[in-house]
Amino acid sequence: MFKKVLVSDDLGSINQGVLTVLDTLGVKDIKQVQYCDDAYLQIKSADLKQQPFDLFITDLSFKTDYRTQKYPSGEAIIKQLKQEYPNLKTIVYSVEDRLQKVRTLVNTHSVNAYVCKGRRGLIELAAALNSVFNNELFLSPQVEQALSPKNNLEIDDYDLELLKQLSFGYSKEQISELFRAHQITPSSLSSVEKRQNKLFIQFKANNATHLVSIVKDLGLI
Amino acid sequence: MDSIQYYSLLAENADSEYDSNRSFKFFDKQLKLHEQNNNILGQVSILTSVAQIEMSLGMINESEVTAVEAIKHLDKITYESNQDPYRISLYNHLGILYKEKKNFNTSLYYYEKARKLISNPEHRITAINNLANVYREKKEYSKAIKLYQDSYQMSLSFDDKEKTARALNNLGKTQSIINLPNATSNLENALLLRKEIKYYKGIASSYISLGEHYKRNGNFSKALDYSKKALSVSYSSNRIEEKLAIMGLQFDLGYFDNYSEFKRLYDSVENARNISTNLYAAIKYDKENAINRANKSELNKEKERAKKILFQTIGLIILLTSTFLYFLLKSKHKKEKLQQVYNTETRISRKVHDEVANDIYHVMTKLQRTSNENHEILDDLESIYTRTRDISKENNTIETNEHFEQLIIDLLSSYKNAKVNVITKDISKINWDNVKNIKKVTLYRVLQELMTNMKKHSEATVVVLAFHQSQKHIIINYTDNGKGCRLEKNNGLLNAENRIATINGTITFESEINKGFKAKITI
Repeated sequence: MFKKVLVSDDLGSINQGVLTVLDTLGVKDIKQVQYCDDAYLQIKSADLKQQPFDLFITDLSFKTDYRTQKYPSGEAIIKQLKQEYPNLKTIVYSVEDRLQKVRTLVNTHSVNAYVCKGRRGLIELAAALNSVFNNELFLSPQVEQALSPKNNLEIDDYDLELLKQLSFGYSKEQISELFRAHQITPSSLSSVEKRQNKLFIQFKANNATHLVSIVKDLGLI
Repeated sequence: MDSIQYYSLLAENADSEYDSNRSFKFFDKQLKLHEQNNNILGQVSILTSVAQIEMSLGMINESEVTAVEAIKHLDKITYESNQDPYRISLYNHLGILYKEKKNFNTSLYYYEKARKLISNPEHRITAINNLANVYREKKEYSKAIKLYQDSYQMSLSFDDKEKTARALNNLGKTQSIINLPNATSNLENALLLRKEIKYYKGIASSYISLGEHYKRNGNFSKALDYSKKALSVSYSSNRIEEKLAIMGLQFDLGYFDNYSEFKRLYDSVENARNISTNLYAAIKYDKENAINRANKSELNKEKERAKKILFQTIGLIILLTSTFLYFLLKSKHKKEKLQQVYNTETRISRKVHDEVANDIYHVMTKLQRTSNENHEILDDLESIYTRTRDISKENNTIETNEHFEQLIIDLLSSYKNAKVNVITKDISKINWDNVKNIKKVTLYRVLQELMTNMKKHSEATVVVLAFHQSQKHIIINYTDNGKGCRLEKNNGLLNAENRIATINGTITFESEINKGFKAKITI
């Protein structure tokens, strides 16, 4: 497990929860700070003493107060640290669950885990610690889809044509024939079947009749 | 006496500006009248009179211009013999004029032209005499003598004693100058002829000629004799210049008895000349003034016009600028307002997020750490926590500079769960690059409102958002299969409508109970 961990969060009590998790996992050397600038200094000094941290856990948003911060947010400090210490593992632990943010942090700033604060936050954090220690990326389930390259929202003209033919009462075999005749690709039976199944899922339909009824109600055909 | 003659006399003998002005005005009026009637000969006749008046007033240059103008008028029309008298008098006039200016060759040129036109032989004698006078002035005496002789012969043949005497006198005068023997007899014969016809002006002239002749020959007593005779003939006349010439001759001969008389006459002539000069200056000034006035008024009109155009242009520019500024400020104000709304939203969002949500989470973790977890309270807290975050999310920052399509997909995906599926059509075919940030933000918020509304009220299982790009607009058709609603606009929909209105877009809703909900957004 990690030997030396830095926790940065402006609410001490949250740190407490994190500390408990770390303690449970057997991490002995834990430092905690409440400002990003402090986090930067800690990491820098530890590195100079040749006793570097091997994990940095941070929140993203920090309340602004009388202290002017060079690094006002978790994102800013992560960006800086990843430049200076690319090998330092980082876990984001935040209330923030916008996919865009998650995507930026993972893709651009190469954070190693993104854990959303929540009812199961600490449990997920424990899982994240294990994953990161094994060099695996960890994302909380609610932000997992941030990195799924394809969204399964989209339907296209092919889908509409398929739905139209279904509404005329054709079977998928007949539609496959028809598509082949009209040079609409893909026209193989397996492709048509695959598409039809995708549409069943997308429109939450139980069978072709149900599907046609739903899309008709929606005015798509 | 017709009016032209009257005004000619008035002008020539004017001793006040008033008279001369009246005359010139009269002639101007006549000229315009003839111009209107396109009566060229009428115009020529008036111009000739004016030229003569100008000449008599000493306005030689003006007279020249006027006479030349008259000739130009004549040249404009096709030649007819009835124009000859006009031409003759104009040519003679110019002959006199150029002789006065000592431009003898031009003078000869015009006298010659006049002579050629004259058909009346008696008149031709005068023309020849005129030519001879110029030659004499030009000191070409032999030519002059030849012409005087011609003139004498012709006068004889017509038995015109006055002209014969004039020719003889002139001949004698010229001969005397170059000291020819016949001079004395010719001069004396001329005197005899003049005495015979009792032509006193001629007699005086003959006496003078003889006086000068004897002066030239050194016979001063005889010369003085003749000068006295001349003066006595001239005495009762008002030919002042003649008298002065005679007295001048007497002074040359050393006879000064008439000095005081000479002085008086000279002064009166000088006075008259002064008056004439002043008059001339006044007339000239008046004429120039009139021209200046005309020019000035033209200039003023031009200036007025330019001013008017300038003012109109300035007015137009002001109008355009103010209109432009009005719309610019209006749009700027709108933008600022939108930006302010947006800023306020994000500020509140941040506060809710950073302060409330975080604090609730803080309480949750505290509770979780206690040995006996109270699941009921934790559940409630979690619900509050989630809702707080939702409020925050509805208003948080939208980073439109990122991939906007992905941003919308993220938004729509977040409403997807076990109960509801969200489907998009052709979202990838929209080009967001040229869409302004404020429009993107607004659209994002509107879609958010629609989706939130769907989640809260519709019980829909499928939502379809069909994107369509036309040349000018982006159109989004929203459809769900929920329970629909009566279109009493709730807060969310009203919000959506207001937001879309700020970016000049439109949104229409369509719904019936149990028939789902439709919306069409155009931006």
